Amino acid sequence: MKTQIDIVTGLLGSGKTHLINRLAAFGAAVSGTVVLQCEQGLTDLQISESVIHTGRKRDETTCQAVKRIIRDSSPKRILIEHSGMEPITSLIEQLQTKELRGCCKIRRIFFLASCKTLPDEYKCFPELFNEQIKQSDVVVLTGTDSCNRQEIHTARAVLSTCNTQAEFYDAQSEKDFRNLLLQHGKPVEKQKRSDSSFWILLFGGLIFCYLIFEALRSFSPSAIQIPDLQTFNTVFLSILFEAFPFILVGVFVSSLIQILIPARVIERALTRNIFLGFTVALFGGLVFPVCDCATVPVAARLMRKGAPTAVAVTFLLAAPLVNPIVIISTLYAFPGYPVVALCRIATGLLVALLAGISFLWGISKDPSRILSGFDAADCDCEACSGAESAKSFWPKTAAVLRHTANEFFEVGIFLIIGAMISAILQVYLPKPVWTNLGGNPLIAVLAMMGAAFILSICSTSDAFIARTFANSIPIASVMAFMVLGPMLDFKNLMLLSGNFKKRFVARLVATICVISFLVLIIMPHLFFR
Amino acid sequence: MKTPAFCRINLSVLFEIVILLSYAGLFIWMLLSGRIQSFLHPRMFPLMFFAAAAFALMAFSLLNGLKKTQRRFALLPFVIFAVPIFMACALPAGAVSSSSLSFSGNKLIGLSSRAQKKTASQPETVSTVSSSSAVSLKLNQALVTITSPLGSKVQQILTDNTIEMDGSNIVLWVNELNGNPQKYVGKKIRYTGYVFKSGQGFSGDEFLPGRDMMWCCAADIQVIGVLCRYPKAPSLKENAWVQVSGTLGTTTYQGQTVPVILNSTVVPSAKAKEQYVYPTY
Repeated sequence: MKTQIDIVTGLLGSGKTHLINRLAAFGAAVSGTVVLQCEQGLTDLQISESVIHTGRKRDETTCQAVKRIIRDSSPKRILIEHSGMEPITSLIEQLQTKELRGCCKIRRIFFLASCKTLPDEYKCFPELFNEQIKQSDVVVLTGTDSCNRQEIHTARAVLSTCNTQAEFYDAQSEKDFRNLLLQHGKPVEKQKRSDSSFWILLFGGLIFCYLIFEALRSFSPSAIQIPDLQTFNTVFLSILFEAFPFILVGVFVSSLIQILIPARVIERALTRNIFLGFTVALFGGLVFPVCDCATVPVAARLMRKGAPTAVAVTFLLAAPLVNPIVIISTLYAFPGYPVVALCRIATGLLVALLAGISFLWGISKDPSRILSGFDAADCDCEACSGAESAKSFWPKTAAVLRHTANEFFEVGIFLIIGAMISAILQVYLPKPVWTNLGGNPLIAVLAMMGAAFILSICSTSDAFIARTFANSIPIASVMAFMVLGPMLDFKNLMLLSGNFKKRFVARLVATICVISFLVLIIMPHLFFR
Repeated sequence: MKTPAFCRINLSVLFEIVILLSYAGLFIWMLLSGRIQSFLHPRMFPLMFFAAAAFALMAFSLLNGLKKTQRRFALLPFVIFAVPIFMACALPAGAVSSSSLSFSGNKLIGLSSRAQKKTASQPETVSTVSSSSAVSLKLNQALVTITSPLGSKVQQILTDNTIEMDGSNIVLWVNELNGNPQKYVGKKIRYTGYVFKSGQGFSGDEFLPGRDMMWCCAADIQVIGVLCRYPKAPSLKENAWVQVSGTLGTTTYQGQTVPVILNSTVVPSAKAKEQYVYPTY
């Protein structure tokens, strides 16, 4: 039976010892718990006598201490109080080496933070915090009774940005704390099967079914004909494969910008004077091709650096549309008819400008009323932090490629799901729906706007999905899909909520919808008669 | 204490590498075997090579990450990424069956080209259906003027009298015929297509011998052809391949004058060599 290791980490004063006291007491019925203190906390350890308390010997690393404890007393569980100032990744790696893997297993990593001080602490040591929070399974916020709602919200934003999968608990709430202990306090008697084994089983089952299917097909090919499914398959895959090259280019360029080009250049241009600001905002996307996924953090960062809200909003909406890759993909999707691309850009720029201008009024000067108080604008993935130190060509190239791969996996999911939904609509939706849709221009525009919102496809490839709509819906109405898609969709909305306050997001969404609807029922008809 | 050479492999990174390499391999296989033709327009093929190369490069750049420590592993995203690969391998890429597409009612472009031409004498009475297909047809018209000089061929046909349409010129010819139906009355025409009639509102003795036209991918396929009048049309099986020959005339369909094949002979034929026809190359 392997020794279970729980690591409790966090800065001084975050409440680690308090948690350990409770954890040790909870599991005290099971003897054989050892508490390893690597940091002398502000609170004293209060544990029962059956629990052994020890610290690191002189010049001993945490890992060596663990080895020693296991060798000496073979405990069932070791609770490590880890110093928040020491990196945790190397400890985890050391505990997972072949040597130690056989005798111990890391079960839970708890990260504690004091609500009031977390945002400032994070600003001082972002990499440290990033690393520790990312590795944690459970995140606990302490001291919330002395904080107001805003501070709690900010602290939670910090934590969830670093790690979206960890479980979150508020230590002040007794109910929460009890849940925490119930879930994670008791050492498990048996080694539980991990969750991912369910998925692996499912995966294996699918492979098995596929093999059976292939075997059947080789016996009697004509028996397994499902025309609708084949049509769906062909349509779905064709949309997907066509979009892949464009998404790859989009993600690659976005990674290049992220890693190689400092945003200072844009920032300076945007803050000088308002007319220049609007011009740069409208056409800056030409020179800095960012995917619509990337514009939200960039716009937030610009506002933080002092760009006027109106200008930042215009940039947010215009950049994805003047992205050269988006333009090229539109030209590819509607071959021989470049006016489609032209209309898309012109309409989009108009909407962006009008929406931005509307933000010249009624906006508070205080940025903290607009931005959620956390600087989420810097990409903190490993590729970026590694790339800063890389100076020469190959490491930087490798970092760009790694970042491209990571971004591809993040946005690719939306593309696959979007293509699937589009294919389902094409193949299985009854004909009369599309016929009627094509008839009334107002309804068609609204339907296309709705589709654009639901199908959160990257702007570099949504022209191809639009093309499939254009078979039955007039191009003037399909333009709504192509103009609104890059500006606002489900995925964007999630990003916006993470970077801006809810009131601002609500106003932004309403402004975009109203202005784009008005522009879209008029402007495309100037291009297509 | 030394870290041993063998470290735990990071599952997330492993799956990412496998997925990326699988996509690269899938694209290369589809390109080399020709299966890609069922999905995409030929001008996209170089882009697929680029995508395969990019996937492979990205996979190699991730190799170092295999040694990283890992605490959590979520399998579901990788299952989603694996689904298209399985579907590409498992299900045969059938020709898109037009009857199963919801859009097939509006996919007919062979007939309503006249809708957007406004003559002084005719007020514009464009029905809702034809206006939508007319607008999408506008794209085709613009294309034809840009890319296609049928020019010399037309002269030749007008002298020789028979229009032979095949995969390489059917798009150009159909657009030409739709644009000037009167000009070709009395000329002979011959081509191969599959029977397409259900849901189009043709009269009982009419059908369309059609070919599938692809713009850029299988999702945007439209049926192209010339209306054919044939007394035994009701007995023709949908999607059956036939060779049609006859004399051109004109008729009315949905309020417009369109070319039609009269005195037609319809014989069963082998499937056309090319699965799709393309308006651009």
